[in-house]
Order: sequence, then structure tokens, then C-alpha cells
Amino acid sequence: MDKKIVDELARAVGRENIIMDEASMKIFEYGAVDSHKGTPDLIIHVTEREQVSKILKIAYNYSIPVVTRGSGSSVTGAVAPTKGGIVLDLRGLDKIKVNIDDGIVEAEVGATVLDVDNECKKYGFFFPPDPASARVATIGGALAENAGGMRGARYGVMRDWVLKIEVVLSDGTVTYFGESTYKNRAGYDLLGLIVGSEGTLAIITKAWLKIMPLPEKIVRIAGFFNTLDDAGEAIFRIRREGINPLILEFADKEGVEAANKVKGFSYPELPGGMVLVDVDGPKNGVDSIADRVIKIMQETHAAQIIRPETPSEMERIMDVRRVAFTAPGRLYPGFIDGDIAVPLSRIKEALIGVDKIRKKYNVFIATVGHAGDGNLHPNIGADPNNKEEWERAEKAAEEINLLAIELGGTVSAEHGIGKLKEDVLIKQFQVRGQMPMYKLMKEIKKIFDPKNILNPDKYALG
Amino acid sequence: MDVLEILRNESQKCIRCGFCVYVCPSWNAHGKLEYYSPRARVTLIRSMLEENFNINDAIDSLFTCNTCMRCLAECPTGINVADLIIYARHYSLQKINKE
Repeated sequence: MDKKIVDELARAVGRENIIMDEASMKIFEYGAVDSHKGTPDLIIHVTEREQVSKILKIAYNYSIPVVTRGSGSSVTGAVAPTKGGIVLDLRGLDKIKVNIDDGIVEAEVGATVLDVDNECKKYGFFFPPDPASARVATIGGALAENAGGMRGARYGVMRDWVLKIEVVLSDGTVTYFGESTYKNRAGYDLLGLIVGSEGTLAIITKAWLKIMPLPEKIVRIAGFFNTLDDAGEAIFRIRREGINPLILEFADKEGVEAANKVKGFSYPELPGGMVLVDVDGPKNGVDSIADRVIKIMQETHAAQIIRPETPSEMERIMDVRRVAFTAPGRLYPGFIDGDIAVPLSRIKEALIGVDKIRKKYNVFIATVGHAGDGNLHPNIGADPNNKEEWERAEKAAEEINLLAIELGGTVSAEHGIGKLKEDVLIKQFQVRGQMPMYKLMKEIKKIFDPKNILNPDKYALG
Repeated sequence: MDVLEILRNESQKCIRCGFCVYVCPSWNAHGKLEYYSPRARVTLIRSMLEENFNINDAIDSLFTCNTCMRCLAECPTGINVADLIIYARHYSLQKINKE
């Protein structure tokens, strides 16, 4: 990058916040997958929200790409600076303020979802969205991807919990979308447009989020199944029979095996995997709901049912689900993220369909997911240096996405599009008659970002 | 098994999820700069092995790890970053001596 521009940026944000050494360039080349990468020209460690506006004014003036980054845990290549330019590391923006009177928490975007949740818990409240990566996922990243998480079965995704955001537009203008009220009909829902836009329309610097009182009691139940058919039936029936679980998760045999190895556990490694359920409610009422879940698991032939009683036992079994996501990464140098969602009634077909694809291509797939909201993560492990194996993995990934479309679902539930899913996103739009919407998306991008500097080359927007 | 093989086998398990970053006292002490995180250290070791990156250009990243092993407790793929760092330091010093 031209020295004159670097000097201008240094005057705006302080030279100590500008990083240009070769080692750091390597570190910021990608997110959590290296299939998409690019070398930035420089990295700026943002420490004050006002700096973002100053940086964008300069970037806009010189048409420099800007990629915004939180923890860099994106699995779709969304934070890879494929066009070079500036990478903004926003983790220095981490202030959190809970306002119980208004039922909200104000958070700067570098704060992690877990930090926000923990801060709320000090007051007897919690922040419902909980990506499995909550301990590292930042509020900014979670908003940019419209993340969900385990409690999505009950509480949905980030969009459902954000009332207002402070944003910096591509030319450096600071403005606000939404209000810090539970209801607001003033203007188009531009807040909803920004959430899930993966940094392509504006940069979020602060958010006003809704919070909820903590449940009195949570009961956790894990069922281990001999067949995917039985596990799928249990998931379907729990929802169909009117139980509204706090979480309803799934981890397949490969995922449970990985967790047992990494954590030294000995949970059953059965072909039908594990179904994990949390139910919550008043202390004197929740046990009857838990009994209904156990009865359904028994009727759907669970080989073993575990109801952990102590907090540490409950945490241990939750760790199985968390670690299961990373099973392919542990065994293979390459990883292809799966993130499909299907209608609740098709979850069993999705589980069985993925298993058929696994056998057809003879690839390693560990499927975990937020089964309660129809979201599965069939994650593929393979060696990118083994051309034949990697091609099989890519074909399997594509077929899984096509399966989701065929079942009336979507190729991206909560991890976003980034670089990884650009082709299948367009495929989904074509199949569903949504190409006119895609055209509107591209027009909206031009309005918000006429110079195409905000996270360019992502989201099938060019 | 030689040092490079150990470094290769362990570092390629990293999925760069970042779970190790937030518990790292070194990262926190350095104003949350990624360069001083366990994830960065493992990434740089991989760059050294796969792209001939000169690890001695990141010597302060390697030597600011205090090998407390908090990252091991968090790592979902079970990488013992502290061990990895010690091997990398050994390799780095050997390289300096040779040069």
C-alpha cells in the first residue's frame, strides 16, 4: 500500500494500531478454513469505535477493500481478504452494559457472545442466542452472519434479538438502524438487511440486544440410538408432540467418538448418534416435561438415556456436542463446513440422506446440528493435498447442499455464504424462483457500497 | 520422530477456531493482539513448514508464550500448544545457531 495512505491511516488511528509485519499478514490470511485466503495490505487493531469512521473515509477515498473481522472463526471464508486491502480487527471494542430496566444489553461488537451472556447472568438474565462457538464468536461476527446456536430451537437467531445497531457506512458516515425499544415501525427494516450481510453493506460497531430472565431450572437429557432412523424419529416427535425444548441437538457416532477421544469420555458410540435435549421451566414443573422427553426416547428405541444431575455432569455431556463439531478437523488437514437447514418434518430424511452421501463418496462426515430447528452441520474431513480424496469431499459437499434444496431447505442456516457457498446460493435462488431477489440484492449492494470496498468478492456479489 | 515431524503432525490438527485465544494470558497482556495468541503461533509454525516462512521473523510471538497450557484445556482437537511451542523454540534456536 502507498506510504502516503499508510501515513494518513496512522494519523487517523495511531501508528501503534497499524500492523504490517509479514508474520501478521500470514495470520490474517484466512478465518477457520484455509480453502479461501488472501494477503491483506495491512491490519488495523481498532481500539475506539470512532476510528472505524476515520478508516472508512480514507478507504472510500482511495477505493481500498476493507474486511471486518471479529474472532476470525468463520468457516465459509467470509473473513479472508481475497482482494487484499485493510483488515479491521475489532476485538478491542468490547464494552458491555446491561440495562435491566429496559430489558436490553448494549454491547460493542468485539465483545464475545459468551461475555455478553455472562454479564447478563450477573443480573439474573441471559442473552438467548448461543452459537456453539459463543466463547469466541463476537457480537459483530454473530450479527454479520445472523448466527443462531443451540438455543435456536426455542429462541431463533441473532436477528430476533437485536433492536438497534450503530453502523458505519462505506464512506465513513456513522448512523443508527432501529431503536432501543421492543417495538419500532419507523422506517424500512434496514436493521434486518444489515444483520446477515457479512460485512458487505456496512460495518456494525455497537448493538442494543434484548435479554431474558434466566429459567428457574434446566433438565438435560441425552439419548443414544442404534439407528439414524430412530434418532430422527425422536427429534421429530419431541417437536411434533408440542414440547418446546430449550435446546434439541444432535451429534452422530463420529462426533461422539471424537469427543470421547479428546476429552477422555466414554459415552456410547452408536450408529444413531446422540440426541441432546434441554428443557426448562419452573422448578416444580420441569420434571414432568423431562419425563415426556424420556418417554419419547424410550418409544423411539434409545439404547441408553442419560439424565445428568450435577452441573459438571451436565457440562460434560454438552462438551460432547461442542467437540463433535470439530471431529473432521482433528482427523484430517482439510475441512468443508456443512450448514444446511430443512423443514422440521424432513430432518430424518436429511440425516439418512447425508449418510447415503457419505457412503457413496466414501468420505469422512461428522454430522452435528441444531436438530430442533432443522439445522444440521454435516462437516467433511479430507486431505486437500490428496487431489482425488479432496474432489470426492467437494462432490459430497455439493450433493449435501443439493439434498437440502430438494428437501425444501436451505444451503446456509447460520454460518453464512462467504466464498464457500456462492455457487450453491445461486443454485438455490434458481430452483426457488428467487433470481429477481438476487438481482435486488446486487442493486442494494451498489447503493450501500458504490465502490465495492466492503468485504468485496463475497456472498456472490462480486 | 524428528522435531519437524512432531511440529507438522500437531500443527495440522489446528482448525483455527480460536477457542485458545481468549484464555491466553499472553494475548490478553498484549492488548488482544492476535500475533501473541496460541492460534497465531500454530499458524506461523504451519507457515514455516508449508510455505518456508522464517519462524525467526516471529521470534517474539514464540517466546512470549508462558506455556501455562490453558489453551490445551480449551482446544477441541486436543493440541498441546505449549509442547508445540517448546519444540518450535528448540528448532528456532538451532536455526539461529546454524546461521
